[in-house]
Amino acid sequence: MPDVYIYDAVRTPRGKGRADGALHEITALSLAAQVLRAIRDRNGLDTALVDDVIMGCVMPVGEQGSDIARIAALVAGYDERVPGVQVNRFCASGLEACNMAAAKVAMGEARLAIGGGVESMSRVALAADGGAMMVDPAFAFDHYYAPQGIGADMVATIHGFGREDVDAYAVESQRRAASAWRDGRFARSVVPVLDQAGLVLLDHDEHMRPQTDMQSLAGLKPAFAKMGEQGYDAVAQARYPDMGPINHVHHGGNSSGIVDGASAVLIGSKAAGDAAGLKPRARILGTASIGSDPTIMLTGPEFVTRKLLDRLGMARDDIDLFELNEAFAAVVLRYIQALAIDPAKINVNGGAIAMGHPLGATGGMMLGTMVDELERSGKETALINLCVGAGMGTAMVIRRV
Amino acid sequence: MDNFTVDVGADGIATVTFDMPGRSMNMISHAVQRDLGALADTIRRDRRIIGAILCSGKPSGFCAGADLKELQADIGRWGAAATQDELREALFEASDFSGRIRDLETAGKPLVAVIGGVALGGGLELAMGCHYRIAIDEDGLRLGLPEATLGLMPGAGGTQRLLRLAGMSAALPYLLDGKAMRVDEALALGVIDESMERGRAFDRARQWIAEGGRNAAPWDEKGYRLPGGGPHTGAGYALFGPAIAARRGSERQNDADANILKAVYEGSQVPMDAGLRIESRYFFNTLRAPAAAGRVAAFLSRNAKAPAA
Repeated sequence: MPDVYIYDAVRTPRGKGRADGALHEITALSLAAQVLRAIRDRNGLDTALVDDVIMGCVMPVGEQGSDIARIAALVAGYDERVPGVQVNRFCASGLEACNMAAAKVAMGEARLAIGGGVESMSRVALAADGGAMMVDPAFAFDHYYAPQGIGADMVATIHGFGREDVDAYAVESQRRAASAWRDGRFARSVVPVLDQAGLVLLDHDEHMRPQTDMQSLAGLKPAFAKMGEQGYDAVAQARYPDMGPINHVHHGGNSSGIVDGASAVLIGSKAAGDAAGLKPRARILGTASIGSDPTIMLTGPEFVTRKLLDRLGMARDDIDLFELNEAFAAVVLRYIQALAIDPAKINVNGGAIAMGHPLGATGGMMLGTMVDELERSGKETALINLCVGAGMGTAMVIRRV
Repeated sequence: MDNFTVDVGADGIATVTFDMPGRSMNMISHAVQRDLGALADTIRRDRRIIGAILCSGKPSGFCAGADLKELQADIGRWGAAATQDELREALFEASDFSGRIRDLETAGKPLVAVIGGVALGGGLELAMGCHYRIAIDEDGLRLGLPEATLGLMPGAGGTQRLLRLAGMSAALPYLLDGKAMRVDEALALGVIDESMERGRAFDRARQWIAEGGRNAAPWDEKGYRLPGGGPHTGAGYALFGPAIAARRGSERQNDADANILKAVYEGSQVPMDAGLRIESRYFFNTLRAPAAAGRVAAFLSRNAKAPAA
């Protein structure tokens, strides 16, 4: 099977996922179409060479429903023979889309394929897609469902991270993101979002709060304590009888932000890249997903990392940069702890705590960030990884070309 | 029909008296289930009958629920079923009482239950299959679906009718905990429509039928909506998820919790007949669980030692 390369990656800036967010007046379809246009235009891409457009979207209902990937490709003006498919692996959907694109290239189904995703959280609310997970007793009762905020606080409780630990992590995320923006480290990937008239509407990540410090975070109340009192703490304790009382440490300031955005990553074989006159930026060494306990829900990253590195015959120290989605601070702290990762090597440019987590788009954004950062720093390898609802983890390892 | 007498008045209103021979208390036995089928048939076919009042001939009350001695034998038989044919046959038996109540409910003529004294478990399920329910407000009135207190679950429409009368969130404590219903609670839930002294109850029942009554349950009428909505609504997510969590995390769990919750969740999303079939399957699973036979046996032995209530 052929080697699989990343030729380019783009993302929108992330707008606050609220009615007063800058991107609220832009449809999810437009966000998706804008990144597809950008990756075409800056690569002079003949879209007839693209054999699939795969987009993550976690709330595929309302305006994000009915296979937004295909519709966005058409709206972006792609050749009408380019198909599209929307995928959902919860928070890792954007990376899963890239993993699938890579698999299609490796299999020979696709010469070039685009992975990425879109989520307008200001326009299609969290949980808008419903689902069995929360309310069907066949899962919720028999398998001890608790919402992921409870899982995040369970991770902190079980693995010993107190409020100061998670807040300190959040402050560092903000500091790194602000510094990365000042340094222009996102400049290559970020394409401004245009309004209906073609004017630049947003050109920076709007959710950031670089002034965040321990004192400002200390004033925030735990976000999931009330949910715990509704009965979910007791569910967690029934599942983990030795855990003791849950220490509710997460809040809006040390959890991923709710934002709007889209991403697109151009993936293909060497031959297809040559034919299109593209220069590869990174090679995809491997991809993996895994499941783990759904109640604590957020510990998949450690397990998927071990699974993938084992398969690739690599060790932790063969990875120069780790990029783990900052769904919640404790998720990253646990990952660092479990694999004894040098904190200087992980999330070097900040993450979703500072910049936000546009669910279906995030994985593609993180992958682009790592391609840029490997080139900037001259480092060789990166592992991109997200914790995923219902206990999963999804990852990719890349090497700079 | 050994267990019921049918007396059709000149006004066309049949008084159906539930009175098991040789017992101080009415129960739901196999013979009673057979009689209920015949009774539904009579009500449907007898042209003189315009409506019926179902009441008890026992001073002890309406009906105390399942005949647990018979049920104990049933459980042994059903538990042994293994092949598809055996399972189908056993499930058919386990669904019988539910089906006979449904026959009454859909016999096409207004039915009123006049219930006094004990109306528990299968007794209350039978009453809920009638289109109007009048409670006789006297000391000793006991209403409820206490199956869960034995680690069992209602299996003759109790989960589906209480759900459709009261909505998911209001129904759950009575189903999961077997919580007794006070008269005011039963009125609020819709389990009873009116409560009054014995002397007026029958006149009121006749009047309700004579004035046209209702010959179908609300859930069989076009446009019926589940009170409070189903689980897949904003309110449903907000209510039903935490309700499941409260049970999962509670120390007061019982073996039937999951089956009751599943019957309610799944039953809330389908029409009544499908809901009843789903309930029957979970009822069947509950009785086939290893603990069920022991719980029934323990209850019977406890009651044998206790003085008669």
